[in-house]
Amino acid sequence: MLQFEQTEKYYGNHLALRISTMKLSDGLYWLKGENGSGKTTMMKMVAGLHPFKGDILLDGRSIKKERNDFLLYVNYGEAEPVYPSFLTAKDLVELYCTTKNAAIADSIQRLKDLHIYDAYNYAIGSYSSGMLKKLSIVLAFIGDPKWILLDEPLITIDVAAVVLVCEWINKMRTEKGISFIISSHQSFQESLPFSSIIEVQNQTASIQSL
Amino acid sequence: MKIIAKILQSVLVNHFYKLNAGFFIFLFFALFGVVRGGQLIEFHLGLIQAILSGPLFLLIIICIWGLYTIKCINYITKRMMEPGLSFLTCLNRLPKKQVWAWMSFVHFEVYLPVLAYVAVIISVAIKAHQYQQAVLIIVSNLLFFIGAVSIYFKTLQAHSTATFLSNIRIPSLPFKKQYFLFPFYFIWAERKWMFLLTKLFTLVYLYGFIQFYEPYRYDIRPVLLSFLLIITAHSTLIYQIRDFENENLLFSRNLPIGILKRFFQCIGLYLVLLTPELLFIWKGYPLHFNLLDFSQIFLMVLSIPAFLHAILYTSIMNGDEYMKMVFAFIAVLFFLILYDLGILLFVFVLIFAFVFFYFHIYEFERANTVNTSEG
Repeated sequence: MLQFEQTEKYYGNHLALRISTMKLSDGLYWLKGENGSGKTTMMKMVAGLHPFKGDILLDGRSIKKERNDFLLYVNYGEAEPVYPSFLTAKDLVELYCTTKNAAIADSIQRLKDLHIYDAYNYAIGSYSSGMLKKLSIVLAFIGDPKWILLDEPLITIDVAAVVLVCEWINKMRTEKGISFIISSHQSFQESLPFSSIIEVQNQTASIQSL
Repeated sequence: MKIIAKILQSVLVNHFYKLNAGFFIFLFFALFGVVRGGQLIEFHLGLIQAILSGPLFLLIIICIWGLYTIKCINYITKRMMEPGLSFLTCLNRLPKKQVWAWMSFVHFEVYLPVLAYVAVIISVAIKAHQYQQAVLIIVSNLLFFIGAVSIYFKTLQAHSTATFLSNIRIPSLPFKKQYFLFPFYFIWAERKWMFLLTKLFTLVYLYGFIQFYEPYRYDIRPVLLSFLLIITAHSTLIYQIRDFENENLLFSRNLPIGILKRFFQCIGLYLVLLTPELLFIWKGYPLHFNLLDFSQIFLMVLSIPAFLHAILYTSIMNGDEYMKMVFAFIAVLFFLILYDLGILLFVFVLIFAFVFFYFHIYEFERANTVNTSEG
């Protein structure tokens, strides 16, 4: 379970997001909201990228007090991933696998399935935005997470890749019980059987059933 | 016309000096701070005479001016290509001679530290009737100047840096990329001229210190003060490393890496960065330091850069604030080293560095966009 406790995120003096209490039991969540409503901010808070007030707990583990344990089980794929341009996909896959205690072979297979393995040893600076997005999705699946947060995962990539990524999500949900929070302006309900919606509106978030 | 000068001064020249403040502080102390006040003129006259009388020495100095020119070119061309400065292309509407003149104005301002010293060297050469050397110095600097201005001019006209930058290739590092060395790879890939010039000046300084400074009794403090200068010269690189972390390594906050491990990785990075100086100083063993005191030098090289790195996690710290902080911190350390506190001083600096690191690393959030041009 992912639990928000008195979380507040400010940019300067501007309140971006306030979630007094919210409990997310395991499931497949569709994170909805207008542009600038705070969807990415919420994901980045859970992923440990943004500082904030309050706390977020994963099965009782606090991101503030047990950060390592928390992040071992929370993976994140950014909407617009940024990596050093001189690194290769190999460098990043090795880094993620080392820190998340995972085997490299699984990621290599995913890269092959998404048809970007040919560029495994190329500098990321030479990647197209679609290739970069595919790589970030593969990185988000590394290890043995309990939650995977995907920010607009299905934009930029080609149709075949969208189908494949949806298959991965469904498989990991049903076979491994991994929970997902997926932000998207499109529903994809025919491909992804969302259990609930997290609506971000007026600087706060609430759970709504479908 | 005044407005053009004001804009060029503000967006190109002032930014160059701000970005390289650490480098210039180092140069200033290396040239004017290490000699006693009464001997300053004699020291510089001796240095200039050595430059003028030895062809090899003169050649080395000309090469250093050439490298400084490359540094200026690299900075100005990259800076002009930044999206925020694309408005500078409106200068192309002016007659070409005027554009050339404005580019000369820019280069004159960034090349001024060299020109000032060159003027003194030339007047000494003429006074000593060493006309051949004077002509060589004038011609080489004139060529550097014209070359730089023509590259600025072409960059502005074509709105592309490809003409200059594509001609200079430095090989990439052939080692496996360890996470803690990602910033070092960034420096090598994106800030190579800043890095190479910093290394050149610090190693030349160390060479001069070892060769020419003869202590009348054993004292570790001159070596420590020299390393204080060397670390100051690296302060701009440290700023660039933190900037790179904010821009390109944000994703790594999601990785389960412990805070202590991250701190050791930070220390390891600066150990690698300053390894050339740590190895080179052994030329001065045992005259300038003994084995026991090397531990002080070693700890200093780890602790001060780690501290400068860590204070850049405080959210109020921008480029200007950072340089003020560096200057104040170095000034305090200067006196504490003179007071001879021994290794304890650097143990405390390391502890402070860790405290800053521990409390701020995950609380830091970039408030506004900081420029990342190479200087």
